[in-house]
Amino acid sequence: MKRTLPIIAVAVLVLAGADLLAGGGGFSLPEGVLLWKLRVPRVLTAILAGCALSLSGAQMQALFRNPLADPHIMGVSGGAALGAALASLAVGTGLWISGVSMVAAAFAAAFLTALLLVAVSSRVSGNTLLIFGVLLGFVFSAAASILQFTAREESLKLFYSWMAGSFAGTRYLEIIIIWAALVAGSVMALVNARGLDVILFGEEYATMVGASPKNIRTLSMISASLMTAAVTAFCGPVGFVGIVAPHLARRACASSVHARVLPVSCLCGAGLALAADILANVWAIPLPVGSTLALVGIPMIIAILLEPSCHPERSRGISSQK
Amino acid sequence: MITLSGISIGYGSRTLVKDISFTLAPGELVLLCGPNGSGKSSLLREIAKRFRSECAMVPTRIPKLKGFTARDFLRNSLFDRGYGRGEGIDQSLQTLGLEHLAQRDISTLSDGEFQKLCIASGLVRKPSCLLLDEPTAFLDAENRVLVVDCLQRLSREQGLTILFSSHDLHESAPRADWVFAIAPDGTFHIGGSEVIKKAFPNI
Repeated sequence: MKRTLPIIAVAVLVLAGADLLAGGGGFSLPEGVLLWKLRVPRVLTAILAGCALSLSGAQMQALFRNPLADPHIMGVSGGAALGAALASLAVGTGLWISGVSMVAAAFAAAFLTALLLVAVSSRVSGNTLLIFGVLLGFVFSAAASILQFTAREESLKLFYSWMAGSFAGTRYLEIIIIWAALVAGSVMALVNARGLDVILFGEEYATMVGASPKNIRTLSMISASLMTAAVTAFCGPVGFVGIVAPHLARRACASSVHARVLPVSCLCGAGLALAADILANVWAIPLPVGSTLALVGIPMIIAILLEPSCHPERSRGISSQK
Repeated sequence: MITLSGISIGYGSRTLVKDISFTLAPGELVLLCGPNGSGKSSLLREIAKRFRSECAMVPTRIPKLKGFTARDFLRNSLFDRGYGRGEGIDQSLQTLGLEHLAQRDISTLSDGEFQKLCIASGLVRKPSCLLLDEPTAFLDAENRVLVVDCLQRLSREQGLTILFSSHDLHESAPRADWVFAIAPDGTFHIGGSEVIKKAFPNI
């Protein structure tokens, strides 16, 4: 752990430097305005979004005791996306300009989705909950599709580019909003770190050691929803970082203790988001970061699925046990 | 001293066992037995709830998760006591002869070692009474004997009151000071190991 953290931190710094150079069909350092108005905000957004989504994923994996839980898979991103779609498509482009109303709509929808997941989680197994989350995502996606029929052309264009996911085009005010959500969310996650450790062993165990599973769940869900909503509102539904980063972090620090895993997870998430952003921006026409993240993240998720520790019957790792 | 007087156990509106009264004296090792669903776990939870400051309960089927050392696992048990300074943890590991496993990942422990660690997770809270829900479940015959030996030693040497539930009546009952048996019809019997025949005539 003592050696791992500086190595990962240096790797993130190198990736941040490379991402700063990525653009315009290769690697080059642009002039002042382009650098400060486009590249720097994009790199900062990638770092903050990676941190926020990985922290959300780490909390959800502990809470639902499922190695594949993350805000995207569990439908929370989908909920945030539907909220953002409602604000941008149904109401019109006027609200699109306002970052605060987008965040408010995405946050409200993400939080309602998270509440629904918490309510369902007490009745079903981890695997069923995962399927429920995936289906919920489909329902939100269908609802957003229906909304598209009612939208005006200019709103649709904005919505489609938002749905593709991108760390580019964010303004400093929006970066501050994501940063504030990340600070608040990570403070809550760190305060709750011991709670996340005990809830992994089951609710009965948590209660016996004097913890309140309800308080742990509520604090985690507020933290994950806040961070996911802020990122999704400005960057679109960005998946896979939340699943992969916590697993990389657990491996890097050879521990599942959240006080150690959460900070490393944050760095791994930033690194993944930066890698995907570099891959998206080294071409003449930038690719959607949602797609490059899928290309980077899905092989890693498959590797996680094929690991023996992922299987509940082995009773090892964060496996879905009720 | 844990004294229960006239309590009933059940789920929702369904009562499983009525009017339970007994006293657990310091240093006693008591076996709680009964068929599945008879209310053994509910009774243990009820005692843990009523005597929160005196009792520590160890639930059954705690998962052996990867990424937690034995020390991390015991530190989790001190959730509501602030971060353990380590002496209670070391002492509990020593009491159960597990000090050499302190830095081992719990997923690599044998079932017997892990069950002893679960008992240590109760001890670390420094209770006067330990409540164990099926501590010998899923263990082979050798490890079942080792765990019951360990419970007997804790009650004799440390003066700890221990109430544990088990289905291994023939192995556990003779070692217990007395038995609390819940019969299939919901009646209960208290006494030496002979009460098992009264409660379960078909065994």
